[in-house]
Amino acid sequence: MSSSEPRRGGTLRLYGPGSMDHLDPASAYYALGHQITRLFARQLFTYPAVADLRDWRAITPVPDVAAEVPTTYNAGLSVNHLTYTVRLRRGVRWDTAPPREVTAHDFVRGFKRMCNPVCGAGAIGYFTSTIRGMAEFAAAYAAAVPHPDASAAELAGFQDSHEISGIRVLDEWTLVFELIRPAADFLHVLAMPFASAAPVEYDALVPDSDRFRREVRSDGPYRVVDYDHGRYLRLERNPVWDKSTDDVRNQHVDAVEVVMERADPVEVGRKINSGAADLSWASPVTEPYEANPTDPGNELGYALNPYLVFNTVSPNNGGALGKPEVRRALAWAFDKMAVLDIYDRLAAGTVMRAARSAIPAGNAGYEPFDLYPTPGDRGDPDRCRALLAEAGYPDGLTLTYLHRDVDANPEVAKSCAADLERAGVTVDLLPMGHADYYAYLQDPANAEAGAWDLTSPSWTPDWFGDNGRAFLQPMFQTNRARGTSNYGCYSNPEVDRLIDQALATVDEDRAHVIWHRVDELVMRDAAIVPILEHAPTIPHLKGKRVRNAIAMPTIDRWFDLSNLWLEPAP
Amino acid sequence: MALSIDFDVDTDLASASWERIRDIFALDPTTTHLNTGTIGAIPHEVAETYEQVTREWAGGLANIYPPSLYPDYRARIAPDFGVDQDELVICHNATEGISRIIAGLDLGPDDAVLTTSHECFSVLSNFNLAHNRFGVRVDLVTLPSGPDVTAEQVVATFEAALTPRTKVMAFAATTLFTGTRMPIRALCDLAQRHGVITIADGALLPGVLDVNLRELGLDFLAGSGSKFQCGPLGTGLLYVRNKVFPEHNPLPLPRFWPVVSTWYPLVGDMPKRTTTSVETCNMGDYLQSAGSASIARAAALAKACEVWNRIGRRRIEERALELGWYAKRRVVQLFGESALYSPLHDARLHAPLVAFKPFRAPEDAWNINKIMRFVDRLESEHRIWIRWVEFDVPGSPHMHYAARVCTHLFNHHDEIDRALEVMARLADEMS
Repeated sequence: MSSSEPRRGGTLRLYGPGSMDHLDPASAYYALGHQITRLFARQLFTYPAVADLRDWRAITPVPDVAAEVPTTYNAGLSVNHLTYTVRLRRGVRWDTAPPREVTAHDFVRGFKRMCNPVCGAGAIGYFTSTIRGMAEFAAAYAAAVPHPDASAAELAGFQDSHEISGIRVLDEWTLVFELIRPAADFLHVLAMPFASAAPVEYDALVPDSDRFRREVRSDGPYRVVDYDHGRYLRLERNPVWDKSTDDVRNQHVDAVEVVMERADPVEVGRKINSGAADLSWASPVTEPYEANPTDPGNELGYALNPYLVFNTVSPNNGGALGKPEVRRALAWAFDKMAVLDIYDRLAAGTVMRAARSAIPAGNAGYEPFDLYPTPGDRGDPDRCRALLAEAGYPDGLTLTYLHRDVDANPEVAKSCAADLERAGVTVDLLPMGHADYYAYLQDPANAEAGAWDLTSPSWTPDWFGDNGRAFLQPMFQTNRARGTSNYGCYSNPEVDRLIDQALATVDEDRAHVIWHRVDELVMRDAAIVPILEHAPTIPHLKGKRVRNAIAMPTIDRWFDLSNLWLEPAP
Repeated sequence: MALSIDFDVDTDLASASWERIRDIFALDPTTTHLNTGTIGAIPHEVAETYEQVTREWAGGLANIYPPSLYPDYRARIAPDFGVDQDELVICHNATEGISRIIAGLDLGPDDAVLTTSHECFSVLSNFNLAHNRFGVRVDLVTLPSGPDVTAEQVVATFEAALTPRTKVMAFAATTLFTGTRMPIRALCDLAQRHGVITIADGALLPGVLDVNLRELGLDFLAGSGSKFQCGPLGTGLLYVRNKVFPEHNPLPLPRFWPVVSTWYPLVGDMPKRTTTSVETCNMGDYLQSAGSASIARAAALAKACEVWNRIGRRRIEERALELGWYAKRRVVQLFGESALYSPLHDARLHAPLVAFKPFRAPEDAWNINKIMRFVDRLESEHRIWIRWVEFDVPGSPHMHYAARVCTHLFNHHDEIDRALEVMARLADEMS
């Protein structure tokens, strides 16, 4: 059979040190994991796999469970752009016993679940600032179930007795969303995996709990049959999935298997090249650089990778990191080019450069500026030391630096720690496994307890094009609920006000100005220190059997596993 | 080649019964046509004129450009609306007319336009285009709706939203959603007091209201030829004030660019526009000149207007409004006064359109599926043609969906009765 024609069969094997942050679509927010959620959890809209990233369709949502994109002309979008009527396609089924159709009620449940106080959506602000009544629902939920160890019955009790006023079920197959204000990016918001349908069976499960992971249901082409968090994952064909109901996914391979093991990029590459694995799981193992002389994806918005987050609520050092002048002092210290060298040695095959703003190049709201300029982006530890003294810390600080223990992360942490040491700051490195890292950061209790002071995650935009909010809202809008992506619990009422103002306008030029103003404010507050910006992101290595592996920019250029197939090993 | 149309005066129509007049229309006797707000029923002789003129021009080699200015047809139609040929353009529809008005005005980032959320897409989309292109601010007000709305409330809604930046006020002559006949003269008075240009979307005006556009005081109006005027599809009327009659509108003529024009000077400017009641620049010609055009289209529209004159425009207005009032009262009887989105108690706001919520449950007013099914079933099961409309209501977070019934001269009381009773039964069943 020709490699240009899909071949059915085989087990796709991924190998590497990564982990999903959560299996539950309501809270899963790590791009790597979205490769997996795409296989078993469907949304109203999603992104198609389009090989040529110059094609705008690669970053444009298309109907998934929705029957069509709502427009004014199909009576799906009201004249004032505040009401979306979304009609569902028929025949999408859950792998329940017996199989049951996915209905509008399942989507409502999905939207309610993302507000759950146990393990909520990392970008809940996208939804609460857009859909009428969702903020009130989330607030009432948090007040009614204030403890993170709530039982499934408590959670379901609240969800089933309260409604989000701006989400209405007209019938089993029709949903209406009423917005607070017009949102040109609303289909992108609905395409977030958080907004997946959730079957009634989830009412009996605590979100992302061990039992949830065992009993997770599928309405996609594959279903999870084995999951050991941070270790192993296996999905097999969902027998009730019907291609005629799914325009974007396929079911070419028999199974997808992910082995999560500590391994460096060299080992991962060796496994793939030897045929023992097909794709990397998290490791930045790239195709030969020459294979991608020009990458059209470089024209899309850049990602921040890495950036440093200060824990602004840390009680350590007498609450020093809560003071903007202290954070500003620290922001001078870092040698960004040293970090770039680390990535360079990985031969990641991607364009990268020093980052200076919270919004990196190519994204809405980006304007080049640098509030902490140092020659060659090499940092200025002396200035850091002097400013720390001015801020009342002449003897420096002692900071706990939390970092992932895989790939380049330990080296990056060591490099940044060395910069701080040069400025008189003592750094305790705290390594953590990939499987726990983001979930740990997303729990504000850890920040409040001072379990960490500084960390270096990465952030890739959730969508491209009109994506002004895709950095600033999740990263900086006040949000201390579990699941937050504002890891350092940064809060500035003026930033919140401006974010709200930017969201309130559909005028792109005006929004651009406001987003940039927010960028300036968060940089002035030194809520983070951008280190590098990467083109999104790298041409991941593919095994010899793999065909039709299409990189998806919306999941950090990881592959659409539902569209690739495997040729027999040569 | 013969160009003139035979405008025989048929005095019979002036006194003919409405039953007889109904016969002049190409109506399907098995259907009930209560949707003239979307498309009117064409008189047979209008269709015949269209065909005849099309045949006359088929294969002809005559110079098409002079007649494409429609000088005769415009001259014949203009008096029907109290204006002159130089102020009237035969365009393709109200949307085109509105587009050319908005595109022709000098609007910039310091200007604001004041309009309503109850306007047709053509108004809102073209203003949004001007916003995106030129930075014009678009201020939207939501019109009050329901049986108790008064003309004073409508005017007050506009007055409260005027700002020093407001350069244009745009509103429908009759709103297509709630069927509110807007207090045009009062709105123009308000606008003139503030030096503001007025634009009326008159899609639902020609052929139903016997109006003198000059006396209304408007600067611009775009109307449909194929709705209440019952001309062929693809016809519209564009009125551009081209003289200053201080008793109607003392403001100087606004600067206006005739976009889409073959006759706009290749070098230099148009003649200066007048500051008096004497024309100095035929703006109508500049706007009308757009290359070759369908003579049949204009001829058929002129025929439709001629038929209207033979019946009597005042008579038609009284008939249409009486039928509309009848329909409104029947809606109140069958569905209750609170079901009405259209004005009831202020007769100045009456138009032959009635918008109402057919279902008992309040939440059904914002259930698009239900109203769509309702209209579909009326068509498929009862051959009754109405349409559903959507609009916002002050203070409500929902879009409201209503049934809209339009009456016109060819309708009669019995069919309105029958249709509304069917609607009541169907709504009951669906409630």
